[in-house]
Amino acid sequence: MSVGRDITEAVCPPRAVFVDYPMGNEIGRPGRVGEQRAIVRAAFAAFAQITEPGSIVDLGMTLAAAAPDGRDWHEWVYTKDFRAHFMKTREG
Amino acid sequence: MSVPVDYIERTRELYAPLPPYRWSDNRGLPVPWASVAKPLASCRVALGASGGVYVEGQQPFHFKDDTSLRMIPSNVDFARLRIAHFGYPIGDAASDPNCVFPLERLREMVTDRTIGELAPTALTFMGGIYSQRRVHEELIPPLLQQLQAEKVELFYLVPA
Repeated sequence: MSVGRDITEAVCPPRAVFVDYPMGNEIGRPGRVGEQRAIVRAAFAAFAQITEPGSIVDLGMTLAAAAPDGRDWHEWVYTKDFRAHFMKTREG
Repeated sequence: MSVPVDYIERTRELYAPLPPYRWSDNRGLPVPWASVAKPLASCRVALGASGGVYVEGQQPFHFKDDTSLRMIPSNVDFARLRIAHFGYPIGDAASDPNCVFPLERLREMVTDRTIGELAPTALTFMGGIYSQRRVHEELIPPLLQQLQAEKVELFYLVPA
């Protein structure tokens, strides 16, 4: 599985599938069994299809969700705001 | 469709005063490859995950550069799973480990014969290891040994 497409492109694993979800939600959101099932099953279906070493198949799944500050999560993760929020919640 | 996050660039900006992290980069090198000789429905599958999952009673992962491995029985009671990882927000995974460790989803796929069977053991570690050398020398050898001992045919890796 990959959620960091640029990192996976550099590592070049034999077979990979990409979902556009945040780190920590590689297989979707908690309790969303249907979503989790769709991701894992699509990954295995892609696995059976990949014949080219180093392929990354985009499963075409994007999470539409807002960050705590209201922005799209894509604009927020691994920024200074993200880090500040993350450290605060980690320290409880 | 949205544009994927550029994590390498984001990380460089976030830690700008420090020298850029040297990410693993195998571009241009031969890609390891093993053909799948039989259908998924008869393959033995092992789950591997770097999201810091462990079982209550096991040693939790400590933060940063912990290269140890946890063996988790594939029939583990999910209520006993715990998460320790410094590098991603663990709230969702703590409330439902399937977010980073989809063992319950894989069990369903054994039941409906999408995959053959699960190896007895799932393998977990903590992905926040900065040293590629330590990954190669300390983490990978016992992991490979375990996969070979359980005759795993397909290793499904979920990073976090």
